[in-house]
Amino acid sequence: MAGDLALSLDGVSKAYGGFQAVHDLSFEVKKGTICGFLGPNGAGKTSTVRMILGLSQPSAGKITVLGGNGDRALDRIGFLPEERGLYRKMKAIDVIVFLAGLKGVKASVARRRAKEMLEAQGLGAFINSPIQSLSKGMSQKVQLISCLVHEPELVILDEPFSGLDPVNQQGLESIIRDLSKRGATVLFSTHVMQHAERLCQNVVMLTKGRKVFEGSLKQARAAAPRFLELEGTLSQADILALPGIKSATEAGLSEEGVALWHCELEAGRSAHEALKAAFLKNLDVRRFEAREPSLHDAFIVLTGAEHA
Amino acid sequence: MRKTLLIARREYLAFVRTVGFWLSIVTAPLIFTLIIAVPMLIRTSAPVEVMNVAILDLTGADVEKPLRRLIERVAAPQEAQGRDAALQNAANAAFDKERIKLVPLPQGLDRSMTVAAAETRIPALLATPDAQATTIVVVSDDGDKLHFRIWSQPDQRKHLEDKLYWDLHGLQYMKVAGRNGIDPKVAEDMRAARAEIVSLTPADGAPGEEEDFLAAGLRDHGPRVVGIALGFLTWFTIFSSSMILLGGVIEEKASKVLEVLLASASTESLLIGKVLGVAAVLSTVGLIWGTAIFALVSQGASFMPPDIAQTLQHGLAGIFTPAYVVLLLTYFVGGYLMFGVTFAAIGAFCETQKDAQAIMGPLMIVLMVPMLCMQAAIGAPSAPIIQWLSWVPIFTPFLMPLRLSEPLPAWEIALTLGGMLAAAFIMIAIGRRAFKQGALTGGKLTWGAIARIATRKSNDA
Repeated sequence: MAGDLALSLDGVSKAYGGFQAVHDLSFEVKKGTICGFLGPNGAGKTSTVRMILGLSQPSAGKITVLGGNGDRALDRIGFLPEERGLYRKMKAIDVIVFLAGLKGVKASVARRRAKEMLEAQGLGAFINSPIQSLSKGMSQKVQLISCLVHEPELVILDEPFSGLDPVNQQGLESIIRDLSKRGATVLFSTHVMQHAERLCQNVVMLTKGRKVFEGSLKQARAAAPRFLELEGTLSQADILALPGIKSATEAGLSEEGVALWHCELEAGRSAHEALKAAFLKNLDVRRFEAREPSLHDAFIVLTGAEHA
Repeated sequence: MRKTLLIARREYLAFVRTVGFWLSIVTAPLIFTLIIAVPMLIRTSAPVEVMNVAILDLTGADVEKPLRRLIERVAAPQEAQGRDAALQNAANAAFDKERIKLVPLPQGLDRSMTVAAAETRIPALLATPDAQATTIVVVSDDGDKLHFRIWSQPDQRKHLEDKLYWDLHGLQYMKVAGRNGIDPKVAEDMRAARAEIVSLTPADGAPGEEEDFLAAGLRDHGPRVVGIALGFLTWFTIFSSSMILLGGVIEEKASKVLEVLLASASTESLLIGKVLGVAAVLSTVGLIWGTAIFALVSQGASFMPPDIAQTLQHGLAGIFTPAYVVLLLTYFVGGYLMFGVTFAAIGAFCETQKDAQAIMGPLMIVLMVPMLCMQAAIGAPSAPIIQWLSWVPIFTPFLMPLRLSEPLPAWEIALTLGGMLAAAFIMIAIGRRAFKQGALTGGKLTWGAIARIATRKSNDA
């Protein structure tokens, strides 16, 4: 249903002269969901975000944002760019009020909200401090508040976790979850898969301007192979002879000084099958661990082939 | 429109809330005033300089007598008479600091000596620390020509010659007249005789009306002087405001704010908001300086003789007619839009002033053309080059204030205005695209890139 969608891209391409930055990209983001927009550097994420915001026009295809064009819905969108910056000489609260004003929020309302949000972020003492006197982390928080103060329906965060310490990263994750609970749609790009893994219902993966995956986290993980880690006095031939083992790579020595093997399972085969065979053959397996693929593994598999 | 005004307000406050802005408001006119006032102050506060003049008449024909009369006549500034007497007397009191006093011949000089003998002694006499005479005029006659050799201390060199140059030639005239048997009275009358020479323009009054020098000067030269002054003022104002815009955008680009702004407002709002904001800053400066100048002039006028003040008032009112002011403002707005948007677009590509220099160089050369024309216009206000260049839209805002000092046909004003506004429209359209592209990319601006931006059909970045 088009009414359920906050964002829809249909066959979108973008070329800068002879360079094709985005190629035939289509994906959808449902309202109220958190969607990770993942891809290596130069994948075309920023170009796509700029087209969504109407900052640049697609060479081909159609983008629908909150039921219309991005540049018509700017007041309903919150955007945190990858390259962050604020007016260095302005006070924190004045910057937020100014940017909220550009989004159509009355100064009095913006001032009240800004004050509340700054205090909630532990910046109550810095309300009237100029941006240049704040630490990098503090000014990033101010910028995030500027992006959210007008209570946008769609929030686009370009690499929001970069430059934040682990505590602030956790705080940002809470903010993103709260936004989703409030009903806002969040699209964020990141290199750190753990954040996407913890936050997203869906992810879109991009490499060299092409979409390589769109779906749920579970679907993404399924695209990556599962692994079995074995520790013991084992030869590669022994391991490869086990059922369901596709490859075996020696990954150094364990703490006990015995070999550690990293084994990739064939698609659809279980670790249990291989382990059972190993015990029946009386192989020297001192420790084993079946590891489910992470989003990081999926990312490497899905983007790595084309990335290489 | 709301967003445009918000951006303009921020730009305005960003400037006027700084201490530097108010310092520059005060210091700029202060420095300007000091540049004019300090030399005047030095001149007016200088002590009256007395030139002690001794005459050594070696002619044997008593030339000393008429020479003394001439010197006595210029010994002190004369009391002025007539319409401008008060002004003239005040100027004399302030600036004419030279007085001449006739003193006896110093010891060692007498009328019986030769010129050569006298002149071997004079240098030593003038070099004496307590010399009574600071200037010694040695007058001799070779039968054909009078010789006035004026010896003086170094700081008075040529002072007496400057004051008596034509009068000394008059003595030679009288000598030649006497030698030819002409009655001295007749000779003097002949020398003093002057024809009446009057220069007139069609704007002058009917024959017999009293000539008012100030009014005629204001009427004949006022519009031209004002036109040149306004041309320079327009250039400096547009240039300085464009530099303010450039600096502001460079700062935003360097601090990565531009992308946030573009995600909140259209490029047009952003660009026009900035241009309006800086225009408001300029208006504030203009208002403050204008009020100060008006107050000073009003105060100054109250010290002037009423007729002069009235003449000045009428003269200036005749120049600054409502139509003239409206046209000046229109040309200024067109120029400000053209160059302001261009400089802002250049700023969007630069993170430092150094980045901007590469592209600013050729633009500055273009901007110097009207400046050079205006300088040329001081000496040759009707030079055809000024007329031709005033038709080039990017020069129109600077050169038309000059040309408006002369009566111009309405079609010429309309066409130059139309050309300028069309050029402004095109430059705003290109500037808008360039601004967006510069704000979103890290690339440097080259003339090739400008050509591509100008010829691109879509408005994408």
